[in-house]
Amino acid sequence: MTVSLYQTGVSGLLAAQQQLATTGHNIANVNTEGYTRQRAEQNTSLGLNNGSNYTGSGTYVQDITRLYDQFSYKEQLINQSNLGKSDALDGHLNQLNDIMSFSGQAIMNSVGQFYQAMNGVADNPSDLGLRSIVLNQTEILSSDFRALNQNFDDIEKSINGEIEQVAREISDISLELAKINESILHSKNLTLSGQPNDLLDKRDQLITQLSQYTKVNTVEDSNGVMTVMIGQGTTLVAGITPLTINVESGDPDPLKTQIRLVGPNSTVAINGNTLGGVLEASIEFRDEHLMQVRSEINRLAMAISATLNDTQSKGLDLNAQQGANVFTDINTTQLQQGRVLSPTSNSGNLSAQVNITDVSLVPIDEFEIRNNAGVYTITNMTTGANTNLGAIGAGTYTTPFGFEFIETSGTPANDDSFIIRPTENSAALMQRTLSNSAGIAASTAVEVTPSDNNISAGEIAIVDMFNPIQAQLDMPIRIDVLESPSGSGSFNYTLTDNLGVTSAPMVYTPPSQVINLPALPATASFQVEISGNPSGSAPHAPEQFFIGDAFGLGNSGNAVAMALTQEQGITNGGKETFSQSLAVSTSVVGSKSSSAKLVAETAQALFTQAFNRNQETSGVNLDEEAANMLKFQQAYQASSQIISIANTLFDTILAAVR
Amino acid sequence: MRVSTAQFYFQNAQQLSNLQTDVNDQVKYLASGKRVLTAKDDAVSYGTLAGYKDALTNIEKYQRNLNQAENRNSLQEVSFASTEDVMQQLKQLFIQSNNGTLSDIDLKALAKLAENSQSELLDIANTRDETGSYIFSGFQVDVQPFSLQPDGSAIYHGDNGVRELQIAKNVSVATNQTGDNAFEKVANHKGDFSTNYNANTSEISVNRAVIVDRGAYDMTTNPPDYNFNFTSTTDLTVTDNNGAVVFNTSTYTAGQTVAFNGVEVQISGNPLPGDDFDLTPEQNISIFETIKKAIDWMNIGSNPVDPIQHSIEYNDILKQLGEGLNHMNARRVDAGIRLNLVDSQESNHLDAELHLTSGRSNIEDLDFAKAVATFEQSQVSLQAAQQSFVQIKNLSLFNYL
Repeated sequence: MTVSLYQTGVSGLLAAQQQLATTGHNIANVNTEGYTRQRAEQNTSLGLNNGSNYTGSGTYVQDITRLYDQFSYKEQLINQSNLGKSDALDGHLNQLNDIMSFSGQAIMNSVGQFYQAMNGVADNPSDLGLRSIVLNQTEILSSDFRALNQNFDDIEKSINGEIEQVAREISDISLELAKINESILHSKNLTLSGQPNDLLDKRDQLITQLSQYTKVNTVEDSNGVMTVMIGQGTTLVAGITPLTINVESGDPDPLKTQIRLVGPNSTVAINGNTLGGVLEASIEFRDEHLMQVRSEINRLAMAISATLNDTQSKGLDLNAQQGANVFTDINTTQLQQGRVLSPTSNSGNLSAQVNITDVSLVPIDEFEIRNNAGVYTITNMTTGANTNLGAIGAGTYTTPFGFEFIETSGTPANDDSFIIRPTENSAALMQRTLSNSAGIAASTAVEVTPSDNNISAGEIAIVDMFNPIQAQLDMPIRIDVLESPSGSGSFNYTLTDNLGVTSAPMVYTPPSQVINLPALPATASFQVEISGNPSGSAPHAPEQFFIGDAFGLGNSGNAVAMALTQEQGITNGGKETFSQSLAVSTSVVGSKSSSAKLVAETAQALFTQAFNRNQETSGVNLDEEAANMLKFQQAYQASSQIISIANTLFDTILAAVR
Repeated sequence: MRVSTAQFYFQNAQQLSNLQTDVNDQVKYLASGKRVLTAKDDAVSYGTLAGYKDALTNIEKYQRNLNQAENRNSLQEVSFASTEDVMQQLKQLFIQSNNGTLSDIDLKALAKLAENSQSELLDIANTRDETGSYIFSGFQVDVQPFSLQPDGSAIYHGDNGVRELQIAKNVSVATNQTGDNAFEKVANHKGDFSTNYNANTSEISVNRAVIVDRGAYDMTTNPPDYNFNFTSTTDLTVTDNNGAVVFNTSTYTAGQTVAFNGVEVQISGNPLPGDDFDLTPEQNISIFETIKKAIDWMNIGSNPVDPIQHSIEYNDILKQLGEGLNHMNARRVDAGIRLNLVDSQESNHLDAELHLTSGRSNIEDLDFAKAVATFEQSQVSLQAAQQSFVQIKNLSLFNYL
């Protein structure tokens, strides 16, 4: 019947129009990020019963749907987070690697130059020119450490800025998502059929952006309102209520900023290490990798300062004074206090400091000292191992880690805790403190001369110097060693001091023995070691060793000792030299950086795969759309032809009845 | 599998970007000539590389020290060679002066020549190096080691400090010799005692007086000086400083070894009654002391008061001059030994340096052939990707509508 033919034609026309509109929409949005292609679904209209059979009545567009696979979309989200995290980490570690390789190299060079200059003084200790070169090199060395420390500070600042920026972005996205959720809810409420496709697309786009910054999980309810959770399940958008992310200063270290979730009534702290995405990468880099490298460089600065200051103090300078510190003392009050960080949550009023006693034992880890019901326990934050230090109030506590914990004033409340960073600030505060080139203590204070009449294979050597000036005053000292009776294997020795008083014989047990001189009750000013079997021949002919004042402008013994520290194992339990220590730190950063690169490449590949899978369903293919356009154009033309035919039929009928 | 337009462009852009990064990296390596620029390039080998560089720096340090050690020891060797010459001359002069036909004036002239040799020797002992420090003063390098007193003796003002330089990981070499060791500790040719003849009519002289057993040598019970007194040709009594008798024999024969208190003495010649001399402990005699004695001997002239004593003293001094010459020679040999050590360490370091440099180069340096090939390859890949992209982008149905 012609009437229904019109209807059919028009329905076809309208359907084709909607199809073309949708295709046009797809083509226009081919480059829109996150766009899911839409398709108009046509359905046949119900057939009309005209008595004997059903005649079809055309078509209608039932729905314009997004071609959206939520599973491949979620897969893309997960991979996007991973990619965000590994890319960010790769970038940061690459920067750190560059800094360590180049600035670290500069420090190695400065150390080398310093020791070169030191060897010059060891050869010619009275030359003031050579000495000032040494002082110049110490200046360069300390400023290199300070510069590297400044680099680390800058990186930390920029990461903190990045974290703040990301937090702001996340908060903005959260607000947007809440608004869209509201719109979707309202659009559903108006009982319009169909999906608000473009709103859904916009929401998905925002979530994709969010997934780069953190891990995202979404749950959609029956009204189409989406609840968004980040990290390990922290709700960011609860339906139409947005929460925001805030960054606040860390406690006790203000530079270790913390993430907080801000709700309408309360705020909650979030553990940054579980957030995923760029946020987790930044926090991991700042709190783990950067801090480790910084701690290693600080420890190296501390080791160099302590070793050289120590050796200086054992010798005499050009003016026969005890050698003063070349670098800032590692136990100044400022440094000691800076190693203890008290969180504001502590209710007691204890102020404490940390004194370094043995640089070779100091590790790079952070420690926590806690007052557990009146007893201090110290926990290594990296390994978790803890040790009991003793009851509070004892003043000074030694630890097996080369440092002492000292209560300066006040008392802690129960459960108060303190963060201990033994190496804190060592590089930042490293300064050259010696300015007079005559102050380099090249000369030793005393030396041992064996008598020409000694016949046995025994030796006495100076192994430690406590007070060179006092040692000079205690000179001369003579040590006579004798095996008595001869061949018995039992040795004894006597000391003759500078007043000519000879002590009673004391026992020497081979193969070696360390003696403090002068002997008790006087305060020891230095230490010697008897080694070997100095038997002597008879009670009248013991082995004799004369210890005398050795100071002289041409004495370079202490300068040689200082030069030898270049090849001595000092850090890490006495196993690594300075350059080895630095090389190890640089290698560790290099290997972290190169594995981060591999991880980033893998993450990129995985993301590309997930993206491709998603695009398979949702992506716009221009060729396909072009073919569709032709298809719908033809359909339109055909449908309009139907109308034209219907018109002709009607005209024919009209002509017939005229 | 359906490919969306966005996916197509995304993938292509990614691949182009990756290939460009590759090319860029290759350029970086080629330009620097190094395969390992930062620790990231080869984290595993970086540690070894750092170790090689460290060892090479150390070798440089040792070579610098070796240089200095060589200079200083060479200077000493040359100085001692000169002193050997001076001592030779002195000995000749002294031998010449033992000629009975020489007059007082001749002897005085010879003594004058000897004095010149003495100041020559003193000059050498007071040598300064290129920085103006005295090389024989031990640690007191700004103090002149020897000064000549008006009476012709020389006093040592330095100390006994020996400087050392590190020339290998566990090897040090001394860079100076002390003045007291070099010039004052010349061995006494007699042994451990010198003689002082109180009365000598028979021309006996002490050949050897040595402490053979230090254990038995008790200086507290029987302190020196030891006095030898011949009451007859066979009767000898030795007393210590307290007057106690330490040795007594009535059957003394010429050339017999007299042993007491761990000391052995040998006297040459046949003693006559009344001969009396003291033994004073003196293990080392300063070379300047010997030269002073020689000059004084020559200045006595051709008519000495006691010709027998004069002739015995001549023998003593001549032997001691010989000891002095030997000592100078030995010191020169000392310097030579150190120079040998310096030489052998130097060649060790050269060998090590060769091996370390090649090790370092194996890790760090770029294999240019391989690198250029890789670079070409990256370049070609990039070009291919770019060109294929251009081709494919033109394929669109819209071009044909």
